[in-house]
Amino acid sequence: MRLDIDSVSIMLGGREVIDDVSLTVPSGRFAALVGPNGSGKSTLLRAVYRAHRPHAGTVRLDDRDLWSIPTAHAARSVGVLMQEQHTGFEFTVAETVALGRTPHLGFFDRFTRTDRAAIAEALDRTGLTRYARRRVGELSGGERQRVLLARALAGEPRLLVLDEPTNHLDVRHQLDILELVRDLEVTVLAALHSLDLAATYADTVAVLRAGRLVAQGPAADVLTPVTIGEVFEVDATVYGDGGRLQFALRPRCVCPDRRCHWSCRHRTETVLTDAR
Amino acid sequence: MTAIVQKLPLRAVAVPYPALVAVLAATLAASVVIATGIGAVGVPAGEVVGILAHHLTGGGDGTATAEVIVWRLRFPRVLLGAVAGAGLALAGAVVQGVVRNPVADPYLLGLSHGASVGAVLVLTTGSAVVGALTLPVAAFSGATSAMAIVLAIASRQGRLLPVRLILVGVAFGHLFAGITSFVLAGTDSSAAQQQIIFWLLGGLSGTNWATLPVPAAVVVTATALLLVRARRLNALVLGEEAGAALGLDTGRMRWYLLLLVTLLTGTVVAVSGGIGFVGLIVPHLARMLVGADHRRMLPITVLLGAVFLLWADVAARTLVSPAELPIGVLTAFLGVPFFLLVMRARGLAGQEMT
Amino acid sequence: MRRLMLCVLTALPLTTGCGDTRPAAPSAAAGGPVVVKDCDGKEITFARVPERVVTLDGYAAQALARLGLTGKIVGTGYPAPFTVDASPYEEELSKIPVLAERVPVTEVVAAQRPDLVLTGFSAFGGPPGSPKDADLATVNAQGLAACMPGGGMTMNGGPSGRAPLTDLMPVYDYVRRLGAVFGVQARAEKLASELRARQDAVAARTTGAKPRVMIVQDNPVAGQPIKTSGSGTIAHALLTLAGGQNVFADVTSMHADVSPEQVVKRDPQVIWVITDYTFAKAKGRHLVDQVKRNPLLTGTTAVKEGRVISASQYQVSFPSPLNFEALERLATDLREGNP
Repeated sequence: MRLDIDSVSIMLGGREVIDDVSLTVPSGRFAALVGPNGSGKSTLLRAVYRAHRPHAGTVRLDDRDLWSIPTAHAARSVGVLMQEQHTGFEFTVAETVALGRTPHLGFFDRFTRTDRAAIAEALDRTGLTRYARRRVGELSGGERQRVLLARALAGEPRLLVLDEPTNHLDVRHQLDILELVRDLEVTVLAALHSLDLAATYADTVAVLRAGRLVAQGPAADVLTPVTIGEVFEVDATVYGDGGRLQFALRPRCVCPDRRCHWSCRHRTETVLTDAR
Repeated sequence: MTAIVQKLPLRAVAVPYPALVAVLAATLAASVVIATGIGAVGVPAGEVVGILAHHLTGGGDGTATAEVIVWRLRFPRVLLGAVAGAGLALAGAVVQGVVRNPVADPYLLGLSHGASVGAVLVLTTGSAVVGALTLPVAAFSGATSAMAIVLAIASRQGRLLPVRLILVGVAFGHLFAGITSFVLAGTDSSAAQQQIIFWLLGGLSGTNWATLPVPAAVVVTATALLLVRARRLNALVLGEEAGAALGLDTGRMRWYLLLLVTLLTGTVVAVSGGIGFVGLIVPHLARMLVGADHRRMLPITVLLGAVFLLWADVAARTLVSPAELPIGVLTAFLGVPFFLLVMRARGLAGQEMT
Repeated sequence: MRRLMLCVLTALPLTTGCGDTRPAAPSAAAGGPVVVKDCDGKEITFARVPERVVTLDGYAAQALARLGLTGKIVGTGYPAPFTVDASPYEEELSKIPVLAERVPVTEVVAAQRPDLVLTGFSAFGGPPGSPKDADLATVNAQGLAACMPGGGMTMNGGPSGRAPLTDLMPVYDYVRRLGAVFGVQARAEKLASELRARQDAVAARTTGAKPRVMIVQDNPVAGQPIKTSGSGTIAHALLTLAGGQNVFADVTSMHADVSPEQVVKRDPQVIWVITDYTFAKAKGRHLVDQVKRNPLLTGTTAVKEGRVISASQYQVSFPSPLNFEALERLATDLREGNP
């Protein structure tokens, strides 16, 4: 399923948080959305899973306008993994994953054989079958994230939207979850913090800054020291040509008039001391 | 399968779900019969069963003393206790889901105080408009108007956000309580003042067969309507964003559920007064027993609520016999220890319950 | 039968209701239907003279006893008022089976198979579990309550009356309605007239300045409002008839809360302690002694001059023939300043 985000602008609290963003993710491809905090990554994703309506532009799934079809129809094609708060309602793993079938429910909320098969498949893929009857609250962070992924998969989506799927996970679990996602034959749009992970797993990287798309394309073309420096305001060195990219990042310490950014003042002072 | 069950450290109740439902249903049926046998006037058990059997098999109404007491006074009251308990517990479960807060209850939204405002107005004003209403109708109107006001103010652009709903509900609950007290302070009617205890603490005395059909029909219908929306109710608990992602129109769903809760609570409050605690505690018990999945917990909630209130009423009418206690006192007295017991058994005490 | 019914209906305008002191439904021949009004003005038809009567409280039983109808009472609740009754009624009433020390619940009433349930309170269904009007219908019994004027005391609407109660009309009214229902109109009329004569006699003797009297129901506690009887109560009527002036006539209810500051300001010349309320911290004379020593009240003229008098609530709270004993004693106490 191809995703077209076409000239989308989004207002939030009277402010334009996304300004004329266009992005296409071809069917079966993995697109990563990177950018600093507050750049509008999550907001853009919300427009794709119909939680926030753009005030201009269209979001299309295989040429169908996402915002003009019924909510449930749209949700059948789009699986979402997002940051969620624990609410105090203790669902089990199986119950949580079953929620992924919500868009497929008929009038009487009854599950068919198809529904059950999809849930079993999602549990199996994420290796959660043996946790099925555990309460989600009893699981570790990594397991919980897998449960949310399984819930998204249970809906048998053709587009997977991931909002910081590796948040709070240790390195191994970060890799685990993205390996899992890459092996799925679905289109993926993921907001990621880690440039390393974006470069490793994404076919396309789109860079957002203050609600505008500043670059998009293969990681090697997009994640250059210059772009990273401009967007994240850090000093970056990128290792690796064409192959696996690695990033060495340092706080940027440009100190015009000797007034440094607060984060590197200490270091600059040290440097100055050394120079003296 | 057995391996999985054994791996669950906290699952105190390893009874299969259908068995649990069957046991609770049987308990309810037995409770109805036993409770009908208990009262201020002793009627031999055999006679009670005989009278019930006679009537339930289509026998005519008699005027023997035992028959009047058992069939006309106690039995409808016991049944209404079960119906009211089921309705309040169900309403509690739904409200908790809708506002995504397990410590919510139907009265959080100003319903019971609204009902008491309606009742006091009828009791104390001579106005032809209000005075022509019967007390239950007035209580129902009060409850539903209160809810309507709360919903209208809590909604923003048609959307109902849980936190707003709780804040507005609590604020207006206090306002309605204030209005009740104000009206009462301005009346010299001790009868009205005693009545208000009924509306605030609840009670099932005065039940007769005519009281029963409307609440029973509403509770049965609401249960059915909610059961066919149980999975969506689960998704609603996840919140606005996740609900939208799952294709759920959370706004419409909330409106629908809250209107259902209003009807349910309004009807029950109109006949039983503001019986507290059931709507708060019973859904919790149900969740502790079978988890948060509404498909499983709603039937348990209904059954537990029925059994619980039925026995609370038995206690209310026997503890200080031949006088009676307000039932709200008993729901708290019975509810808290029972709740703690189950909480301990489930090992939840050490867990965070946000 | 139909003719008889018609006759009763045409007599309706004469039928007594709350606040109506005219004679009760006259001369429905014994055995025929009798129509009286309940406290809301609705008509109750009695097809025959009641045979099995349950009195929810002692007040109603005391009224029946004076109509020579004690034998029809099959059980009573709340027998406490009997304790202040006099011979021969006290002995007679003490033989009635007691159903409950308080107002009995519906079931207990139903067990007696009454055809008539009476209460000296102004409505049915006050205490939790006690029979409401609908419950009485369920158990095939009729009900008759003693009415207080001013709908404020009625259960279902009616005007919120604030007119002060200044005579003992509720007693005469209840006695007459009972007489009509039981077919003993003559006796009821005689009793009502006798009671009325006693009221008039007391009123005739009250002359001169009216002492300012405050009614107290419990020993006041510092910082809390003081409970007093307002103008809508029997106690207020008694006080007025006995030649006193209720300093809190501007409140209406039976247990009105008034502020201690107002008590000081209005400075009662006499304090009338109504004892035996369940919430009071002491009983009888003990309560009176406490009130005399109460620091909040020591500054009042009443306590300074030792004018603290008392009566039991069983004589002065609800319409009852004993109201007149209390009235006569109160009048004497007020005149003589005798504690």
